[in-house]
Amino acid sequence: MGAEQEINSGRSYYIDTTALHVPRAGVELISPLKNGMIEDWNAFQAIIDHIYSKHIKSEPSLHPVLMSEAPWNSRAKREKLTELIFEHYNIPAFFLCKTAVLTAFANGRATGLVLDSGATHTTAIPVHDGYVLQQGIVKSPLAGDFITMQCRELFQEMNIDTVPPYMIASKEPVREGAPPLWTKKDKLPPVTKSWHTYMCNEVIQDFQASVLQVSDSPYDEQVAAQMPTVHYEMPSGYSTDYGAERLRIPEGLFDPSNVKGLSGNTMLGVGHVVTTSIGMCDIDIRPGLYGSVIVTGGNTLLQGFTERLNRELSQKAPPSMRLKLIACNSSIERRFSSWIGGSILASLGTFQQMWISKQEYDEGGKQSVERKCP
Amino acid sequence: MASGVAISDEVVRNYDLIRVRQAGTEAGERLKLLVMCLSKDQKSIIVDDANCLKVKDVGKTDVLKKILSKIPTDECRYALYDCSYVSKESVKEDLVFILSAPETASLKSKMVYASSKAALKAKMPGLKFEWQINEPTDRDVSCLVEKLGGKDTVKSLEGIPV
Repeated sequence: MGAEQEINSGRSYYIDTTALHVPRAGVELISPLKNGMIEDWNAFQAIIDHIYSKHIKSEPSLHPVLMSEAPWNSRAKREKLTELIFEHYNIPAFFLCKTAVLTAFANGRATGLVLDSGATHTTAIPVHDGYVLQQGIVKSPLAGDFITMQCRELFQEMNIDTVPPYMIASKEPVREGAPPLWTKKDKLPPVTKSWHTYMCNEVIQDFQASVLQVSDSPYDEQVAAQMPTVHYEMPSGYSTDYGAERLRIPEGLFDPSNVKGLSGNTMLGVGHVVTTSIGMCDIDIRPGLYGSVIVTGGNTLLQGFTERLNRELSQKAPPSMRLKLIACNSSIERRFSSWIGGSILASLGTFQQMWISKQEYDEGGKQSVERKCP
Repeated sequence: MASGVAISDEVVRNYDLIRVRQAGTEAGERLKLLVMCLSKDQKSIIVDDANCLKVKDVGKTDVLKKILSKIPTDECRYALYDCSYVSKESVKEDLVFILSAPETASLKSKMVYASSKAALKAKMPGLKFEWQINEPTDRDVSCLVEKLGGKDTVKSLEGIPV
């Protein structure tokens, strides 16, 4: 994630979580990725430069680089990335791995269905014998950001102001449900809408992670009304209890029929995404996929997500099919499983012969990436 | 995508031994289970002699249980199991390739075994069946039957009706 500023001569970037949280005038918040693929190459380069200078603190030409990529990454982008890596950074060796394959391997499986639910999208990617079956990839936009938007609407309905911490100089404790009493910091620079929205979203995301729960059976008003309430306090000091909303909001992930603006399209529910993906694969390999559904991605850490998914799949899968969901208990492993897999692979002694070396690039050109990194 | 791990000649030789019925070898001496593991230096796949089984070691009863007892539950292994079963048409003997990567094994070894599997299988042409074991519930006769073609095809496995 980076923040950029428009100056007369060019752009300057503020990168990294600490720099991101400082309010600055005229600074927009952007992400170089769109749809999981690199879109803004200048911003991407700025991030890489930052990583080398501030974190790795070494010359790019001294270390081989292994990068993970979205399974649906286009050929043109892969070649452009390879070109950037070798020509601009002079990196000695390079390799590109698909995230789903790394995740499957990190779970000790070469065959399985990887269900990745992150911030921007939820995807089901079938992996067979270490290769992604491109025709079976199914994507849905219902993921973390969608939940954040639903929470935003809830707060608007309830007239709760999501004031981000950067604006608050001090606050006073108030009774539950009473309007918050807080004083605004003076001399705040005129921040851009995109930056302010992001800061508010962070508040909502904290609420999302701590309060929301996925119902283990399809949402029922009466059951939800009896749900134990959870107390949550906003950074502004406003605090209240949340009950039925806890279940109602994440229900949209599994049953989008009641979600506004989606025209009752139920095909985007998480359960459907998985079964559609497996359904697009050869019938002989389907038992192998149902028997190894690997759940990964930050959005899956929502309380009750895996239990509900298990229930949905056991209802939708063919009756005699053996179903198994694999979900790491550690939140680090769930969010970064592909990174973990990649770091192990890159450190293996035997992997050193698999890289695309600078010499191979010089001889074979950027097309080498298609050949060596299938 | 592979990990670059090498396959030892010993493994290839043993694959031929378990696959082809050698003339002149006694029935009991033939290999029933060939277990393979990663070498200590993590650079190649070698034969795990301690866990291999010949036909005479296995006998006629509780065959699958004996086979599974040789596949450790806390470490990763590859195995080739010469399975005899009765199908609708006839008595069959087929090789089943097993990848065992238990949840309790270290993340690194799970990663290495999973990414090296393709390279290993490339050295073993003609394998029809594969069995992926990750949890105690996978170590069941019903899973194996499913891989061999399901209850419709397999009538009995190692002498025990399905």
